[in-house]
Formats: sequence, structure tokens, C-alpha cells
Amino acid sequence: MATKQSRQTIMDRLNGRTIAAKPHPAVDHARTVSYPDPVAKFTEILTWVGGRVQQVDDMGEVSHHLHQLPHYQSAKWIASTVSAAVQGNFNLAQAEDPHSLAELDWSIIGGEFCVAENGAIWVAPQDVSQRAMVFIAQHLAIIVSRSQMVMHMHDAYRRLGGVPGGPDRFGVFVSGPSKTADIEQSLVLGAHGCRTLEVFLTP
Amino acid sequence: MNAPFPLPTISPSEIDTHNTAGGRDNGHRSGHQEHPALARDFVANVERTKWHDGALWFVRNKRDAQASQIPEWEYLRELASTIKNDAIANLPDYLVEFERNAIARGAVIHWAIDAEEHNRIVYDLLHERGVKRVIKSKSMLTEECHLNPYLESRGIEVIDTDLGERIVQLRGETPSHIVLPAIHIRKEEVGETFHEHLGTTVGASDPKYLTEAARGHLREKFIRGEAGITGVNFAIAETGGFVVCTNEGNADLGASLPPIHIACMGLEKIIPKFEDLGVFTRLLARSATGQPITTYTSHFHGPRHADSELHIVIVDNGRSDLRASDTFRSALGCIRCGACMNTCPVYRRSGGHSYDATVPGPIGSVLNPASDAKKYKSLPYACSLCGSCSDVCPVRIPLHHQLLAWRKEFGKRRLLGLDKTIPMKAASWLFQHPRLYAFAGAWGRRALRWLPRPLIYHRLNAWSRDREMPPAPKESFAQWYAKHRGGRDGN
Amino acid sequence: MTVALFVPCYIDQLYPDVAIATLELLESCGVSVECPRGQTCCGQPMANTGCSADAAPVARRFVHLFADFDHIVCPSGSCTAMVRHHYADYFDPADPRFQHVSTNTFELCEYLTDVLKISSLNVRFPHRVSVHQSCHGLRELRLGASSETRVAGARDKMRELLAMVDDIDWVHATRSDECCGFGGTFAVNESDVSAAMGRDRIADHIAADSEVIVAGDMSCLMHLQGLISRNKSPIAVMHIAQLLMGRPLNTNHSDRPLAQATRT
Repeated sequence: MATKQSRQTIMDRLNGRTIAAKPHPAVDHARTVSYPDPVAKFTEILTWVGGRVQQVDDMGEVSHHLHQLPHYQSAKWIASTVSAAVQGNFNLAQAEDPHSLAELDWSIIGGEFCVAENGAIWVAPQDVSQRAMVFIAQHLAIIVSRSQMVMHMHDAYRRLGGVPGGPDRFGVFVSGPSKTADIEQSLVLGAHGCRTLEVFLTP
Repeated sequence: MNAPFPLPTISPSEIDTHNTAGGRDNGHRSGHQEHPALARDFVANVERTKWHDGALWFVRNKRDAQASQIPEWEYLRELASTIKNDAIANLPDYLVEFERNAIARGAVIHWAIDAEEHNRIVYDLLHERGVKRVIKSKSMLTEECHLNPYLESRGIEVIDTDLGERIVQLRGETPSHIVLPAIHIRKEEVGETFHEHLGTTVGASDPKYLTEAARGHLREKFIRGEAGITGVNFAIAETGGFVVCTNEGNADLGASLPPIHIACMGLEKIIPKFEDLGVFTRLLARSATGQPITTYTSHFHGPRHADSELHIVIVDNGRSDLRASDTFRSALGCIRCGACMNTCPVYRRSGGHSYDATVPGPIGSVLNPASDAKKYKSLPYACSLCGSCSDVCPVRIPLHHQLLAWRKEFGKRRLLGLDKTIPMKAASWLFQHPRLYAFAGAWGRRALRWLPRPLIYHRLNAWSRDREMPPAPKESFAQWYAKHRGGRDGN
Repeated sequence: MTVALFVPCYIDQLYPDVAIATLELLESCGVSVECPRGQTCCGQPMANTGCSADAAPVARRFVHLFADFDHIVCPSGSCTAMVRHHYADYFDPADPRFQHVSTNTFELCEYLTDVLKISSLNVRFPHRVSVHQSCHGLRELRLGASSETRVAGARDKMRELLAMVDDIDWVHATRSDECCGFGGTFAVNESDVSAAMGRDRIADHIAADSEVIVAGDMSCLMHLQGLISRNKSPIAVMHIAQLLMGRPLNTNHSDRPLAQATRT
């Protein structure tokens, strides 16, 4: 096959040159930032990038908060993987083809943990019916425990990297609603992914 | 160095062209022009230059604000530099490790020596599957390889889904910045383009309105797309996965909807360990756009399910040559953040198109001469050696020193024009002969004092176009010293 | 301790008062300064153009001229950076004279703050002053902290010295360290962008209501002065040595009156 030959050529080129370099560094944890109130920091940053954060004491409050939103009240199709919070009216089990999610107004999903420094939430395969669910709905809500909070991305990757069997097939850090500033650096929330992001921090 | 690296101008026959509202025809050029001439055109439009400069300085400021929030910012840069140097030094081993792990996850790996082979591989994958409609997210590599015209000329529709890229695509232009492709375009011009292609209201220029129109238009493309092509921000040797960072969510829709995902990467995108992502995800968005992190940082470890395909195309296209150079090797550590462009006072005032290359700005001026030194020899001189680029680079590439190194390389290869070599030979000779230097200096000053103005201020005197000549004192310092401190050493 | 004054070529020919002020300043700090006979240039113009073969003999001549002095002081960050950071190409690394010169050449401000460690000056300058941070002094010699980097405890040696001057009224340009656009041959090779950059710097300082732009590199100021004169801009330029020696505000502008420069 042609690319086998190209592979060999490239490898030969690379192996033909021995290069010295310093060894791979270990991150000195003592030199990384730490926040006295990580939940507050997380909330501050996520709000700054256009997300909305709500602390709730139980799942029941989630539905209550959502119902305050006009774009939730008027929503036609709501898909949820967190049935304890929201039942939804969209049958995800029947929707194998990601294209069938195109009409979703809301995706309500879980999150695994939060990152204080940048307002990001890790969403893993078990939080969604399939990957498209995160990006295709007009609005996104993520329900995640605020006790699952790390300070920064070093800790985040340490946590993810410690999973036996290696990383999941897919996963995504989500921080805020989709956005673009491609037109004259004017920030617009709601590019191709969700227009709004609601985050509910459970205990 | 003989292998091609980022490729030259798009050939006119392969692209639909229009004039931009700025009166410049980007993408349709009969001959390559060097940076000074193109920069002159750009900067002559004072109002537009001020706007362009202001927009990019705004992004630079946002980057500064983010860096200020991370006390360990310089430590992160040091870590990133060391990690990338390790990755580049041990690249063959890491590539083999990446390939093994990626295949174990169900991805198919392809290898491309150059742009042509990359394009052929991608085309064959699509053609074999009867794909006619491709949705593509931002990938500077595919720009470098000119993938779009290659596929389009073979009957495959390619939609660039990044909003900035879609704008330049509709306008028949090339991106002028690697992160902010449409930074050179005013919102009124976007409005005109969208009116023409998307049917937006004539004269409308509100970014929200235009973005909403693009959302609807591109959503339809996402749904109908038959294959998704993305770039790769980081490919992890240890796990065989890769990461794509976007704000818009377009790469993810492209990867999540169609059954085929093709990820194109330069071979230098490898990072050794999964935990290295901690360093790079903290630096990338802060450096690029002044955000703590992109909205989506998507991880891919194999196809999304059993019925979908993931193909990864690993491309050399001159990178292995660059790696062989002790001086320029570290430029392979570039994570394509664009911070060097935002901070470069020359880039801000001349625009990305004045570099006439896929990757412009300081990093482009280092990378492009590797592929074609003759063509790109003006680029390392499109620089005042201010060093701001080196100070913002998240992976600490010594960009301004590399630009200087290119100049020396051109000198060695005898690529410098007589307009450079003759004055320098003359100056060198004078500086080695102090009495002649003093004599020439004294008469030069006399000439400045005595000659009628038109003989000094004319078109051939580039200094005098915008500036008055420096003062011409009657005495040099050496003469003053001899007179006033005479008896001691002096000229 | 023998101290030699390294006078950049363009200062020797076009701005001798900067060298005179440097000499006087060092002497007022108790330093006995010599000016080696026959100095011309450090070689930077040739080196920065890419003409290493032409820079080499000039660099070697420089080292030969200055090798016997303990310290070499220069009122230019960019010339100093050339000798300290960019001379390796022209010498055997083990050459002791090269090693000595390349490690003992100092820019004026850093010499005053780090070697002489002066703590006071007897000078008054009752004007609105803004500082232009010359790029090589800033990003090569690290005379101050660049706005791009986040280095804890970084000093600003120019400001430390200017703080010793009585009655200075500080004003600040909005872009604290953007390049003036001189860049050596850049000024003529890319004269349009160079001029645009310089005009922007001048406008920034004027908008800050400054009367004078002070810098550590006369090359930056030569370029700015050229633009100021052409556009009749109401602002002056001074080298820091001139200011620290109490030269008058219009010391570099005697060829034309600074009509609107002093807005009291």
C-alpha cells in the first residue's frame, strides 16, 4: 500500500537524525495555582464566559429552575439522560442516528467533574446517549456535583488519566455556550453548538 | 533543504475569485509579490490599518489579561517548550507509539509524505465511499495542502464550517490569520457577502444577525454532510487519541454526525503523554484568544461507535526537514495559537495577506522560507526584531532569533539582493578603516548641511519619504573628544 | 577598574551629545572613563542584514579594541545586545578576549543600577515625561519587564534612574512597549510600515500629554525625531543620558523651535 511506503520514508527521515533534548518534565504541583474557594472560582469563570450556574440542593430544583426560562417553557423537544432531574419527552433509546437529534431544543445531561480555573465540565460517554447530544441541541443543561471539583487542568488530566483501561472513546470539556467572534471581534453567543448553557451544581 | 513545506499561492484556475471591498484581489495573483510592496498597499489605507491594528491589539490585550491570572504562566511556557522539544527529538518513537495505540482503538492511520499525497489519500477515502458533501472544521494543515480546491475540482463539495473560514470561503479569499481567518474583513463586507450567498437583508451588518444566518445555513450543511474533516490540535502518543479545540462546536458536529471522520495532522502535533494536555490546554486558548479555555475541548479515542470510521492522516510535507535543522527545529513546537501574529506590530499593520503564504506573521516567516527560500526571502525582513513574538509564544520558540538566523542563511546562500549586499560591504570596509570612516562621516554630514533639499529628499532615499533626515552636527563625538579631552585617546 | 566608553557609530556621527552626556554622567558618578582610539561600529547593521561575512571583521576589531578594559559601557541597548548575545558567530567560543568583552559590555542604565549601584542624582527636570522602552534593551537585555511576560520581581532600570530626577511629571503611553518601527534597515526596507509604527508611537505619547519621549536607544529616537520633524508634532525626544545630565527639553531640536511642545 502506498502509505506503507510513505510511512517508511518518513520514519527513515526521522530516524536518520539523532537529536538530544532534555527529558520529559514532570509538573511541579507546588508551582500550580490554587483557589481558596474553587466552587466560587468555577462559577465566576463560567459565568464570565456566558454560562449560567445554579447551585441546587436536590434534583427536584433543577426542573423548577428550568421552568423559569422562557426558552424552556416554549421548547418542543427535550432530551434528558438525567431522569432524576428531568424526564424529557424525547425518546433517546429510539434515536440511534445522530441526525434524528437535529430537532432537539434541549439536551439535559450529566457531567463528571468541574475545573475551577476555567469553568469547564468534563462530559463522558456515560453522560450522554451519544456524542452529538452535547452539540446539536439549541440549549444545553449539565447537571454535575460540585463536590467533584478540581483546581486546574493538570489535576483534571491526572484524574482522567488514572482510569483503568485508558481514556473513554470520547469525552469533552465544555466551558460555556458555543460562541464566535469572527465578525469584527464582536462576541456572539450561540455559534453552531448550544446557544445557552445552564449548569446545575448538585451537592 | 529541498522538501516543500507550506505551499505557495492558490492557482487562479482552482478558485472562484472576487475583489474584496478593500480593492485588493486576494487569491488571484499572477505573480508573487514580496512583503514590502503588499504591505505598502495595506498600510496606505490609514483608516483600515488603524482598525485592523486595533482589532488585533484588542486580542493581544485579552491574552495579557489571561496570562496575568496565572501566577505560574512563565513556568507553563517553560514546561510546554520542554515537552515539545522532547516530542520533536524523539518523534519517530512517539509516532510509532501513537500509531499503535490509535489502531488498537479502531482508528485507521495513513501517512503522507507531502501535500499532494495527503490530498490524494483524503480524496480516495471519500471517493471510495461515494461521498459528495464534506463538512470541514479549521485545519491549517488542509489549508497548507490546498485540500479544498483539490477536492472541489474532483466534484466534492467542501464546506468550511468555522464561521471565519466560511466567510473567506464565500468571498473566494484565503484566511489572513490562522485563528481569526476573517480578521481583515469588516462587518459590512460580511453583510454584503451574506446577502449575496445567504440572502440576508441588504445592508445588514449586525454580527448577531449575521451569525444567526450563518448558524442556520451551516446547520443544514452539518445535517447533510456525508463526511467530516477536522484538524488535530494535539495527538497523544501514550493513548493514541487526539484533541480538537473549538469555540463554535463545528468540529464536533462534523465529527459526530456523518459516519466518517477524517482527522488531518502534521506529524509535529504529537505530544508524548496524556498529562501533557494539562499544560497545553492551559496555554492554548489563553494565548490565542484570551479565553481560559475554548468552549469545547474534544477528545477522540477511536471511532465514536462500531458503525463509524475514524481516519487519521499524518503528514510530513517538509516537517522532517525542518526537524533536521538545529536552528529552526524548535519552530515545529508551534501549537498554532496565533499569539505571535496578534502581537507583531508589522503583522497588525500589513495584514496576513501581505505575507502571501498560508501561515503568515512571525511563525510563517520562519516556516515559509524552509519550503522556498527564494520566494519567501522578504519575510524574515518583514520584522523589526522587536522580540515581542518570542515573548508571547507559549512554547518559547525564539522566533525573532530564528528570523535573524534566516537572514544569515540567505547571506550564506547568496540570496540577498545587491541593494543589501553592496551597502553592507561598503559599510564593513569603512568600519574597518577608522580614518576613512571619520572622513566619510564628516563629508556625509557636510553634504546633509549643504546640499539643496531636493538632492537629499527624493524617491530613492527611502528614509526621507516619511522622515526628515537626522541632524548633521559639525563635530562627531570623536572630534569633540579630541578637541576637549585631547591628549588622551581619540580618533 | 578601567572603563571604556563604547560610542555607537550613529551616535558618534549624528548625536555626539548623547555620548558626551554619557561620559559626563559616568564621570559624575566617580568613574574614570576612556574612549579607545579608532572605534567605529559593533557590526550590528551588517549582522542584522544577514551579511555575516561583513560583520565578522568589524566584530573582531571591536573585541580587539576593547579587550583590555575591565568594563565597556554603551548608551545603546541594541549595540550592547549585539556584543553580549550575538557575537558568538564570529569567534572561537574559547577565545578569552571574546569571552571577556561579551560578558563585560554594559548598557548605560544597567551599568548605573547594577554595577555602580547609584542611589541618587542631583538633577531636576520639571517636565511631563513618557518613556519609550527600546526593544533590544527590554527584551534582549531585560532592562525592564516586557508587557508580554509575567516575571515576578522584575525591575525597570530606566525608571529606577528616572525616579532619582526631581520634579519629573510622569505620563504613560497606552502601549507601554510597542516597537517604534526603526529596526535598523527595516526602516528603509519596510519604510511604510516603519513610518506607520513610528507615527502611532508618537501619537500615543502625545495623547498622553507628554512633552518628551525618553529612551535608552538613540536609534529609536532618531527615527521618531525624523517623523516628529516631518509632521511638526508637538513633542521632543531625549536620550536618558541627556535627561539625567539635565540637558534642556529641546536639546535635540535646536534646528527648529518646539512651538507647542511645552503646554503648561
